[in-house]
Amino acid sequence: MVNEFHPGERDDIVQRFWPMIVRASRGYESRPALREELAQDMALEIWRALPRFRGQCTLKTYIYRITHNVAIDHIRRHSRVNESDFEEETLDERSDVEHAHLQAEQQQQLRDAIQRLPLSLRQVLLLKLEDLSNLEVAEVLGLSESNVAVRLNRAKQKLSDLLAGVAK
Amino acid sequence: MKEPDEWSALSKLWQTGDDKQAPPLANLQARQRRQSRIMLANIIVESLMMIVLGFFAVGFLSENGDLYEQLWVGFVCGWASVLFFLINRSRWKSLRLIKTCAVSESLSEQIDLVRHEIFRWRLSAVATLIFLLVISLLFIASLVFGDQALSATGRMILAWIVLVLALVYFSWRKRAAMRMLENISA
Repeated sequence: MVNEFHPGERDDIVQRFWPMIVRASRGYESRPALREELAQDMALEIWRALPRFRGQCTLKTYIYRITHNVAIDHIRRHSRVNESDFEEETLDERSDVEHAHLQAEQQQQLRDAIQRLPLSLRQVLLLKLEDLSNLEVAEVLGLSESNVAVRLNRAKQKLSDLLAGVAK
Repeated sequence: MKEPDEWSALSKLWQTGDDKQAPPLANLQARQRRQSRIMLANIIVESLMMIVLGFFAVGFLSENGDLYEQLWVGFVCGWASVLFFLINRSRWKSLRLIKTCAVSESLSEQIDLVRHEIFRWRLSAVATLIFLLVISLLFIASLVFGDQALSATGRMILAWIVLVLALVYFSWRKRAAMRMLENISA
């Protein structure tokens, strides 16, 4: 059965998931202009894919799948930056938030740490940070729950090390 | 990381402060239509260039011209035709990627696309290197047999510089694609 979403309904769904889309784009892209483009691509792809939603999984899972698939496509098309460019980018951004709120600085540090994680760990972590259960993460990524649990442990350990490195 | 308090604090920190409105979807659709039109125009222009190049090559190679020039035309046409086919095959695969499937499924297709890209740059580098060796050997042979004009020496140096620069560029792009493959396979 194909779901009949009205264009207005589709707009509402995109709007509802927009904060998650923005966060996901921050987890994958450090360059501001490309980050905005990525978020827009994710939103548009969700809007276009909604009429094809057949209830094969929950709507949330469906939307997270699209979001993360678009992110991988983006990495393939735009991942020309090398590690030193990335350092420069994040250091510039850090200097911008020096005068900002402590929370904003912590968020920036978290984003920097997440972007340094290998893709397989980053995907699991980004989904867990959105409060998805291990089962939901497994459905989005197409992995077993045990595999998700292993990756999650590794991701948390690595994130912890990275954040500890920032704190020193 | 201490569970679960620290994790829930981290999750809360991650989710704080993203209450902005989504951009109007009509604008995003217009941007996407513009990008599609640009891609279509690129494909049309590239196809026309290939046809023109093909006619030119057939005409040129059927004449009894200079060996170096015939080698150049043959090399450029052969290389362009193979790349044209490979690039459009990757484009087609990229357009057909299904974004609603589980991430692990689409990831393997994305990895394939990056491998195609690495293959294209490697092919370009190897073809350029072979071509460089062939024209260098021909040039050396003509020097040895003493039938080399001064103007041809200048052309040869220029060709050599162009080919070495192309070789450096192709190798650099191949390394970038390999780094990308490492990133998305990690």
